[in-house]
This record gives sequence, C-alpha cells and structure tokens, in this order.
Amino acid sequence: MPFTPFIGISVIVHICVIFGCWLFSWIPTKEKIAQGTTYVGYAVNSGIIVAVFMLIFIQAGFLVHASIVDKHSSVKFFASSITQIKKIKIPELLNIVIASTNVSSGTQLSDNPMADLLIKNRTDNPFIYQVEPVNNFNDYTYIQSKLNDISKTFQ
Amino acid sequence: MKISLLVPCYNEEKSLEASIKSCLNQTRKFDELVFIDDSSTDKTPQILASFGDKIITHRVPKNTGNKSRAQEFGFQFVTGDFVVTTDADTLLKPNFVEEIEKSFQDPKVVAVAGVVKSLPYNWLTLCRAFDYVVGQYIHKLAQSHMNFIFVMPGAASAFRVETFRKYITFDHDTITEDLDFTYKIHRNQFKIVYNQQAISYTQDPTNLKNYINQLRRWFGGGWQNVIKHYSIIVTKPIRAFELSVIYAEGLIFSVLIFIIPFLNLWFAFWFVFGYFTIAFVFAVWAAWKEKRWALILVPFPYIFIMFVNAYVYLEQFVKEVIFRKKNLVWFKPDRVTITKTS
Repeated sequence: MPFTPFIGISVIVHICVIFGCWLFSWIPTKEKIAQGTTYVGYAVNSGIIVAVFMLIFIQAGFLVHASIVDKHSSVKFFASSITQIKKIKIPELLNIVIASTNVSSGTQLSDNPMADLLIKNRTDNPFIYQVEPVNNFNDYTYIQSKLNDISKTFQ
Repeated sequence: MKISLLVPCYNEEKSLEASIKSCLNQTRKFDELVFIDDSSTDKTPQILASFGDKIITHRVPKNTGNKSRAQEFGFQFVTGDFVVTTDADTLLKPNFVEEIEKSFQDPKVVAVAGVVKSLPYNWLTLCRAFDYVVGQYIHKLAQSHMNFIFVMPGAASAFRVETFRKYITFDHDTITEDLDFTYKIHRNQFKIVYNQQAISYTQDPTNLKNYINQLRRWFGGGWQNVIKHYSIIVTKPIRAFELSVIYAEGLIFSVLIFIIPFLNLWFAFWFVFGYFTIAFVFAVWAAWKEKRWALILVPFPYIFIMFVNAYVYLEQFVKEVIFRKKNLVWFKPDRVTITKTS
C-alpha cells in the first residue's frame, strides 16, 4: 500500500535516512529495541509527534501564505472586487463648499491627473459646487479628504 | 527448515493457474503448499483440483467474505516452521523461497517482508507500479535501516509460524490484516527484515472504480490500525517520527491540494507543475530501476491520481477517525487474465 498519497516531504526524509546510512554507516535505532518506555519517553515521543506535525503544518502554511500574497491570488481578487462595489456606492457628483462665486464649470481642482476633481456645475447655493471625480479615480476616502483640502484653499 | 505456503482464493479462475505454477516453479521448493478455496463460485475448485497432490486444498464450507478469515481457516493446516503468505493473483519470482530462507537464518527474525511489483496492464497499473518503486526502494528501504517496517505486504510476507500463532493471530477487527500483523510484531519488539531479492508480481486494479475501492480499504484500514495500535506510536522515538511524518504529510497536504486552487489558481498551476517535475525525475529513476520504460510517462496520469489519492485519504480519515464508522467489508477487485509473467 502507498504510505502517503504523495511524493512529498516523507520521500525527502527517507532519502536522507538512506544516504545517512550509506555515507556514515548510521543506523538510527541500532539494537535499542528491547528497552521499555518511561514516562519521559512517552513525553519525548509525544513531543516528536507534535513537532513533526507542526513542521509540516508550517510548511503547508508557507504555501498557503505565498498563494495568498501572490499577485494572482483569488483572495486579492475578491478583495478588489469588494472595492469595486464600493466604487459604485460613490456618488457621481459630490458637493463642495467653496468660498467663491466665480468658479466656472470644467475647472480642475487638482494637479494630480490620477486624482482629479472637476467642477461640474453650480447649485442653488452660490458657494456650493458639484464636482465629479475624473480619470476613474474612485477612492472615496481620498476624494473626501481632497475635497476638504480644496475647500480650505478657497477660504 | 520447513517452509509452507498459504494462499486464500476466492473466484480466482483468471489468475490462479499462473500463480500456482509460479509457486511450484521455485529454485528452493516449498515443503507444503496450502490453498484455501473460500467457497468460490467459478472454476477455482477445478483449477485447484487439476494440480492433484502437488498442492493441499481445503474448501471453506461457507464464503467468509474476508481474506483474513480465509487465512485463519487455512492456518490450521500449516505444519511448516515458516509460512509464506501471498495472494492468488500474485506470481512469485523463482528465487523467492530461497531468499526467504536466507533471511530466516537469523534466529531473531520473526517476519520477512518481500518486494511487490505490479503486473503491467494499463495506465492505472503503471501508476501503482510507480508507487511501489518509490514506496519500496525509498520508504521501505529507509524504514529497514530504522528498524521500523511500516507494513508487511500481504502479497509477499513470511512469518515464523510458532511466533505467529502465539503473538500475532487474527483479530478481524481491521480491514488491512497485513498492517495489523506488522503493528503486532512491532508491539512485541520482534524483528522484521526487508529482503529486496524476494520479489513477487501482483495484479492491481485495472479500472478507476476498483482502484478507488482498493484505496478505500488501504487508507481506511490504515486509520483503523492507527487507532487500534496508537500506543505503539508513542513508545519509540523512531516510530513516533516515522508514523507522524507519514500521516502528517498525508493529512495536511491532502487538505492543501484542494485549498490552493481556490486561493490562487495560478499558484496551483505552478504547484502542480512543480509536482509534475519532481514526479518526472522519480519516474525516470523508477523506469531505469525497473527497466520498465513506460514509467517515464507516469507523471501525466499521476497528477490526476494524486488528487484521487488525496480525496480518498481524507474521505477515510473523516469516516474512520472523525465519525468512527468502521468498515470491515472486504473488497476484491475484478481480475484480468495474467498473460505476461516475469
């Protein structure tokens, strides 16, 4: 019967044992068979079991971690999909209070081409303008902070 | 030194004749060949009868439905000092008995584990042949250095009869009796040797359904024996190390290979590709070792088989360990006629 479903870590371990025996005539359990097991022995052997499981679990954990942080990660993809959902929630037009009445439509409010805000039109209140994010920039938190900054510069 | 052979048979008409001939055609003859017909319904009784007094045949009055029960029935007719146990779908290499006899020259030796090779048939038997090469020439060889043979193969084992009767016996409480025997031998601190020259050729499942059913028996029986013989694991450091490496790898990586494709498909592709590359390196080595060049192609189906193996491994873990649903129903794969003998 196959010992495990894989050609994996256990194969490497066993190859090391074989080479160890060939190179150094090393026999791990040479004639220690007849000894009984003490409570310390039980503890040590249980510790070995836990340690082996932990080591293999850590190796598996590395693989899981690597697959998550990789740029093709499905986790990242779904995380960005959630951001996309947030994008939809951002209103197309945002209100901004500017202490000026002569800002014309089409004025760009930022020199960052990736985070530009465009004056769309005036509202009934002469100090409140509607702006729209352009260049597909949709970080809502960033836009809000940008609006606050711009608002302050006009005051 | 009197060496007996014990072979249980149930509906083995396709392979039995070739098997008996291989047992008779030994450089060192068996002193006694005992065949147990487990109430076969095909031509098995006639084939057994055709060998006349060359073999001893006994028929179980009612089908036992289980190999180990048929073996137990047959054991009462064994009169040798040593007994070779094999299957009716297995061929023994002509020097098999000679090698077994050599191993038993050491009076401390209680059991001898031989080598099992898969008779060629199709891609599934090719995968199994690959498993056998890696399992026996790497795992088992290392285990023999560590004095801890994980399992005595059911198709190629030999025991000191007196010790077997006194300490090993048949419990019928697990579905892999060979693993149960092995753990009992370890529990009693007896010595097992692995003889790489004692070679047998067995017939493995030739279709996926039978392959999966055989895996269920093996892996399910593996978990049953771990539960039954848990105490032997914690009594020796080397056993603790060996068994935890084997079972931790099987369990953790079986889960992992199903999780990774969900986490990162691209990464899973590279993971499988890496596995393919490693399998290819081992396949070339296996092909050279066995002089069976088709083994070079084994990485292609082996990727698929890896997922099948992992699925069955987890399935049996859940069934046997978590839900404790013990399956003791014997599975016998469909046989095909043995046409190619080595």
